[in-house]
Amino acid sequence: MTATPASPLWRLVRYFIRPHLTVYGAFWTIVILVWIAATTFVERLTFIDGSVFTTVGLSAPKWFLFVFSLIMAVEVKVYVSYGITRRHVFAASAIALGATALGFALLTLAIFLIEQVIYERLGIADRLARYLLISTPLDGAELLAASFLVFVLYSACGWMVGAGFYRFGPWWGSLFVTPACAPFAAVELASSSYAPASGSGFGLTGLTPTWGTLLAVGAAALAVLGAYLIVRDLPIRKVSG
Amino acid sequence: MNIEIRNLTVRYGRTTAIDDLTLNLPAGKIYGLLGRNAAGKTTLLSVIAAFRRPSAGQVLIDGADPYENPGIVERICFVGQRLIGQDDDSVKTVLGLARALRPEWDQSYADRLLDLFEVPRRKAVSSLSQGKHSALGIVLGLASRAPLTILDESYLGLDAPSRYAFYEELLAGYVANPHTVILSTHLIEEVGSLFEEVVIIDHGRLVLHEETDVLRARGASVTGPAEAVDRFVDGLTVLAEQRLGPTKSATVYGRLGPERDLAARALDLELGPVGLQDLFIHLTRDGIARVDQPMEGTRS
Repeated sequence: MTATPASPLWRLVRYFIRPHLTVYGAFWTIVILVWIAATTFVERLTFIDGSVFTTVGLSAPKWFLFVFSLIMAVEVKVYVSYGITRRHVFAASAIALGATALGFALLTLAIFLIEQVIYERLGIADRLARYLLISTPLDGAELLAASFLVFVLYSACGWMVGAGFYRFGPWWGSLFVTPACAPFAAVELASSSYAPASGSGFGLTGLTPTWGTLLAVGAAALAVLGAYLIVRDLPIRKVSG
Repeated sequence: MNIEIRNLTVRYGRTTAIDDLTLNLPAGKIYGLLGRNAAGKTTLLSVIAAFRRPSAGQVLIDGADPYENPGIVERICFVGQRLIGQDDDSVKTVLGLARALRPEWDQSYADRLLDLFEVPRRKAVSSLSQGKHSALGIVLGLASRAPLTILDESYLGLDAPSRYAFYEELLAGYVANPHTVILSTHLIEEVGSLFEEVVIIDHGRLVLHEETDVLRARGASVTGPAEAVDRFVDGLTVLAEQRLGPTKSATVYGRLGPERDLAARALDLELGPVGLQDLFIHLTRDGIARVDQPMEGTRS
């Protein structure tokens, strides 16, 4: 017999993270290659007037997590059919996606730092100073926190959309996309995530960092709560042969 | 695992799939769950497996509500006609998931069963033939080594040799490690010998819950000269008749008693056991539960 950890929750967390590391690796390889190619192209053919990564790579991780979470939520039925409770599926997804969001936020921070080093080597850092996100360690911490929150927000909204499709069916599920995406839409509309020219490391244009943080945390909490409410008593429909 | 069902009702909108059903299934037996199409079998099994909440009433597994109960649900393995949501996965992925999530998963046994049923490991589930798809479900059901294994018509797609191989494996596993098994099936005669107890439901209601041997004794087949058979069955409920030349065979419902035994001998008639399928057809014919008295009382 195969040795298994005691808790179904951690069995599922391990299942969520381990096999998906390859997918994450492939995704970030593509993002980094696109970023390198774009930087080379812009530097050779025109001139760099801001963070290239902000333009070509910043949206990719949050949409990747949105879609990834959506698929994960649609699969809730599968895990329940293997003897895991909905509560544990939700908790395991939250842990796995939270860890993934943190990993993605760290990679985002690392890429921005590398980008600034490259710009310094190219001798254009001073010219771009006002466009750059990270001037001080505090900026770095704020960027990390903002990235993490945004990734959590998109993950939770993706989860809600996926669970909504399964729970409410294609018609009502499609209509549910709007309220399910409202939390991240609110944050995106009220702010300009990562706006490099905002002067704020958090990048919430027109909002103080405190209000920006409160809005992002509140929206993320709302999205996570919404996702949980949809899945907590999700009936598993039969599949006929 | 003991299963206790009390006044269970499940509704889908205005449709009542299970209607105030009460049933006790003690642990460590193989149960046959029989019913016509849309009788409520899958719904009943879904509630037992905690796939959905009942609209009313209660299901208790080993005395506890299984719904969102991690200690209970991880010990239940429900396999239906198709794997839920895994058509795009490969067989290898499906088995990997079972290995990761099933606490009692027996990989070497799974490998042996895959070889026995010749299930290709690298193919996508959606590209498997119906027979191989069913075989994969069987592998998941048996290799999970779950204390409560529910197989909901999951072996219908298997060919006859594979079905008999499955019955042998099921029985061998059960003898080695007695656990509770519920088999829902339409292949009544074929699987009937495996059942220790039979539960028949119709229109969401319990028609009968009885030990298989006792149930079989509720009827008899009478074979002999046609005229003698007709005389013998006069006044009895005849479920089916067959005639071959001067010989006739009739299946009757109801206990015959010693007087009828004597009469059969006097008429030179041969009495035999009745087929489960004949009884099932009689009990659920025309959508009417044909039981003179509630049968569950005898088993609860």
